[in-house]
Amino acid sequence: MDVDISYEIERLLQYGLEKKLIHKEDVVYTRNKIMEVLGLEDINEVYINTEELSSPEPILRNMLKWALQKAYYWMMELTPGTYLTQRLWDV
Amino acid sequence: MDDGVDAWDLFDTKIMGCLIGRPSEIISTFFNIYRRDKKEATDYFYNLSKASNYIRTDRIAKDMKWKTQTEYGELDITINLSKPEKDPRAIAAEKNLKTTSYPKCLLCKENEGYSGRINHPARQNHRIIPITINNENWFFQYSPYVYYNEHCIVFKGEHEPMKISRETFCRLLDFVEQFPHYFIGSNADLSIVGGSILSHDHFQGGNYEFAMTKAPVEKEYAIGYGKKVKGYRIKWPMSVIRLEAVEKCDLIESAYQIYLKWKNYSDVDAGIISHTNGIPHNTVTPIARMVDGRFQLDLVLRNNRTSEEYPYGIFHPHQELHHIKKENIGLIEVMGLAVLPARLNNEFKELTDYLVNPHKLLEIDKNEKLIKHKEWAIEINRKYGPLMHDQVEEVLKNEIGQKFLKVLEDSGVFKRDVEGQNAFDKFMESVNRDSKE
Repeated sequence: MDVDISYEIERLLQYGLEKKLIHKEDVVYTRNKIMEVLGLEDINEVYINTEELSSPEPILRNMLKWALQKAYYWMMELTPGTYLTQRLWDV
Repeated sequence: MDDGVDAWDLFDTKIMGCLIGRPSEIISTFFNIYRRDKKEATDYFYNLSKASNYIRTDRIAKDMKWKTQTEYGELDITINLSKPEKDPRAIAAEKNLKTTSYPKCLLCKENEGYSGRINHPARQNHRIIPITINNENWFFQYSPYVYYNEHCIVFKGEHEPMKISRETFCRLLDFVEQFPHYFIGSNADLSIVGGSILSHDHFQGGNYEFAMTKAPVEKEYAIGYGKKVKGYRIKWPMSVIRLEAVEKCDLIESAYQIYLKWKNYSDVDAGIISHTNGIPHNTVTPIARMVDGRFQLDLVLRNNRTSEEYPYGIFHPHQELHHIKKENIGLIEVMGLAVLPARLNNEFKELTDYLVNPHKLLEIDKNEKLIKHKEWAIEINRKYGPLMHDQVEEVLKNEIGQKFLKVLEDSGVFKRDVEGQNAFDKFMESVNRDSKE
């Protein structure tokens, strides 16, 4: 199943607020920074459930999956069966 | 140096770097809390280091940890699943490597915010706190590997090699005065008996009580300095002098004199030779803490001489223990916590099958990974007979703990038998004699 990256970004922002890594004034700015890192120009407005995570790992794992899927579609055309495309299935 | 860095780590660290404040914000928050409550300040910084995923708590949770009861108290054993094992000779070679890359090493302050590369971890989510000890600029951070609670690292602002000196004792005691709820120690400054990073002066500390800390006093020594400094031998497999004083300066002076004395001390009967062709072998692993408002400093006597019989080190785990531990016995092991390499996790899992079905031991030679454990497995089988599925793990864990005790005994310069302890007394007498002169 494809990862909804907009949803994962909101989850990560919620994690950051919960852990006091960021404050509410930082949310828009931080969302933009994350979009920049992910190479996103656009994002969907999504509603997320409240959750309490002890580690951001589940979110980061989905983001990685999303990035690899993107890379995969791109790489399939170039070099199928490379290290990266193989390891996509381990995620 | 390959630290097991994966391209994935570079990716998710970059994302987490978006969520953490700039260094100046973190530092000002830390010291605002510190002025009110020191422990609260370190709590804040520890939680931040975990929340930012700089400490990867999900990976740490996979580490195996247990305690083994011995005559010296409960030893801690950890099988680390996120950091590779280093050959002591590779570590020695690294000390002489040219330092041309950026950052110069894994500890340097230039790591803060660094985007990383395939053989160096990304650190966009990493923050460090500047502190002043011995009137010098040092930095405080947590270890990403968390071998024990609040495992912190204190490193020098400049990339300079490990060196035990009078200043080392000043720095350690300054640190515990500023962070009285933490212990702090330095690895020795010689290969084999030092830690894994000799190229950058640093300490390790934290909020954890090790078996060595709890070890009872066995004997009191007169060490000069009137009654201002108390000196003790504690009950521990390695050779530890515990010093205690109310005033920092008294403790620094006595520790320094003992260190100087030890550096040039030889006792041929005990196998201790201080120099070979002018190359020094003697040094100490010092550990400081505050106890009930008094300063305490443990000096663990070390010697890194090698011989034909013991090419890895005379006071280092001997060959027959290398299947479990051949890495340097650094500060953390010295205090009673074994950090064992990840490969052992799978090997032990496989080994349980052989111990439950001992007839398979006859074929253990066919298993390349387990050959090195053969004698040990046979020994365990002889001791317990065939083991049940529900007891094999407990037995194996206990036997590993007992092996670790042997590791510490091998590393001790004065052995625990009567002769060894007499040799210890002889050294302490010479310390006392000199301090009176």
